[in-house]
Amino acid sequence: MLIEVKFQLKGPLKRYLWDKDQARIKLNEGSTVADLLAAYNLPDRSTGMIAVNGKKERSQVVLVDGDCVIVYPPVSGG
Amino acid sequence: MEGYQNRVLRVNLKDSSSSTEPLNMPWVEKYIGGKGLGIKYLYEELSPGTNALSADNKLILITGPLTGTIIPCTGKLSIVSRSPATGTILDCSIGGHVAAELKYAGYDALIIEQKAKRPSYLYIEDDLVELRDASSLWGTGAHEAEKKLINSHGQDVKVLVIGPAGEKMLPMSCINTEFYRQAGRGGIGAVMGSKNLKAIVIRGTKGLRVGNMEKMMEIIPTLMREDTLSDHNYWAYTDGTPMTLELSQTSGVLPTNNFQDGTFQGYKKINAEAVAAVRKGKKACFSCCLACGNHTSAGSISIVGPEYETLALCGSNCGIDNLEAIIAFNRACDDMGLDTISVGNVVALAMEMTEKGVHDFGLEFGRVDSYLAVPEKIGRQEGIGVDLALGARKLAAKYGGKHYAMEVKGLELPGYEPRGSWGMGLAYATADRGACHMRAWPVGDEAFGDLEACSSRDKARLVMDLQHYNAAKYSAIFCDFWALEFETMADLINLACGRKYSAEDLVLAGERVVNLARLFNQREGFTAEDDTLPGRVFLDPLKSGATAGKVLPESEFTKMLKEYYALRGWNQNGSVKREKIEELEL
Repeated sequence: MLIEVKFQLKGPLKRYLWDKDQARIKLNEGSTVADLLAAYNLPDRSTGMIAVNGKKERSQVVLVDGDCVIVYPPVSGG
Repeated sequence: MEGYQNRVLRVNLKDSSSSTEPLNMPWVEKYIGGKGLGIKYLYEELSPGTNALSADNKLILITGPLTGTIIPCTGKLSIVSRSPATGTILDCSIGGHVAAELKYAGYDALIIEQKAKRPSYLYIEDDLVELRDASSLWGTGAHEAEKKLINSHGQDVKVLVIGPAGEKMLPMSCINTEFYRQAGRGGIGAVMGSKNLKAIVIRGTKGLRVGNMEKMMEIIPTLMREDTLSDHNYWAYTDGTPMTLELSQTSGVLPTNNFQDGTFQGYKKINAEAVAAVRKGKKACFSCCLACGNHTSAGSISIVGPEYETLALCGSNCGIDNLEAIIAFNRACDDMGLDTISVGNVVALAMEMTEKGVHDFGLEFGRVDSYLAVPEKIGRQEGIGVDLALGARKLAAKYGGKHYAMEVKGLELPGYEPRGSWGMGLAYATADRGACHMRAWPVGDEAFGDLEACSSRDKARLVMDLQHYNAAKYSAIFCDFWALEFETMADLINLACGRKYSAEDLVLAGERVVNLARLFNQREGFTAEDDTLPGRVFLDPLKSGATAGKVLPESEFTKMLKEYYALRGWNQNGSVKREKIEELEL
């Protein structure tokens, strides 16, 4: 069975979505955020905080149909 | 030594004299440059107890070994003095191109002493050093003053300038360059004002010798492509610091309504996308390929900014979700020569004191009209501006709102809520110049990373290590936004200077700088009692979002602090032990 999630990448990561702001993707049930990132060839070290439905989550979290995933780049600062 | 000009320019404003002297090379060996070397000069030259606003205080402008080279993200200038806001050591850094200009004029550092008899500006063109009349500039905004100086001296000069706030020696006054870049914190602008010094104009035309130019030319393009411009840092180009706002919102550490909450309902109106929508272009410092500056325009007002700190402190913390208003507020602060972190804090404090009936300042969370009038009132010292210019600590003491004053050692808190990032609390409490996010930034590992944010576990070690990293980075002078490794830092210094520093040497240099800063503060009477946080952080739970219900319990804070002192090899009263002084050869 497939689920559909909304996916947003922020800042420089947008290029992994061909500079689109967001996409919808179908994944196998039981897929995690890590599976989603792998589907877009996003390297681990290129990603920072992950939010699912506005809540900070780890990449091992299992997604459900209708989830909205936002991935931020690592930031340093300042 | 290569990489340095091996020359310090010393100017006495009282008699308009100047002299040059060799850079103190034994100190360079240990402290490298920038922050560390500047603190060493001040520590050795300033008599204990010197009032920050007296003629005897010194203002040290100092570059690093990489300043003026093609190595990326090395364009900042360190400015060191005793802080008028806190009485602590104070080092600020300022971007733009002025640091390279000073180096090209032939100096690693400029030490300014005493006080000019009348409003003046310092003009430096290579070996020509003159104190000139600034009567016609005194009282003007920083923007107008800088424009006039550029018109007089040509587009090639670089200018450091204060606004009316610095002239009036306000504790939240900053130094500007290129109109929108600031050495912001601790009242560094007031030190210039106290010396009757409106501006410093610099033009340098000399060269700089580096250790291995051929190798530098060979490796820099690869380094930029594979490291500086990688996904790890490239957010600085695509979005700049506004990127942080949504991270803070999601993790519940976005200061809101004077730190009463950690999330802000109107955050989407002031986030990175909102800033990008009014962006007209990008702006970079000397030698920088990241160009983090956002040139924005809203209505009739253009600025470079607003940065995250301004969006957080002058936006959500004041309940303001109107980006155009924040840009106008930012522009007014820049022109008056005011630090937006401190001003945002003190306005939010006044809003809460008004709300709670402590004192009516006529300011309300979210109300734009009265908010917009504040920077000019502070800078010109009119109406409520006289009170607000006191800063959070003194304002609260005057009217009885201590519980609402968000400051450490008299310096107002930056934009990361410590109740949702406990290591950040320890970092604020132990930072050398009061509440500062640039001495250590554990929030990146905690609230924005994988470490448990609301836990004291291992935070003392984290904060200590980050403090060493930043102290070394600011001494070599690399920008915050290049997250480079110690090894890369050492390689680049060695290339420029023909040295053989290892990563371990730089960690040690960082530790040395932190300890020397501590000794400075200790000499001025600061103790463990000053290493604390505002009462609200210990007592008032946050209200919403990921950090709803969170406090940083005082017992947990004390545990982290004790562990931190022990790890540092300090006494439990926070003082540096003699053995540590000997070990680090301070």
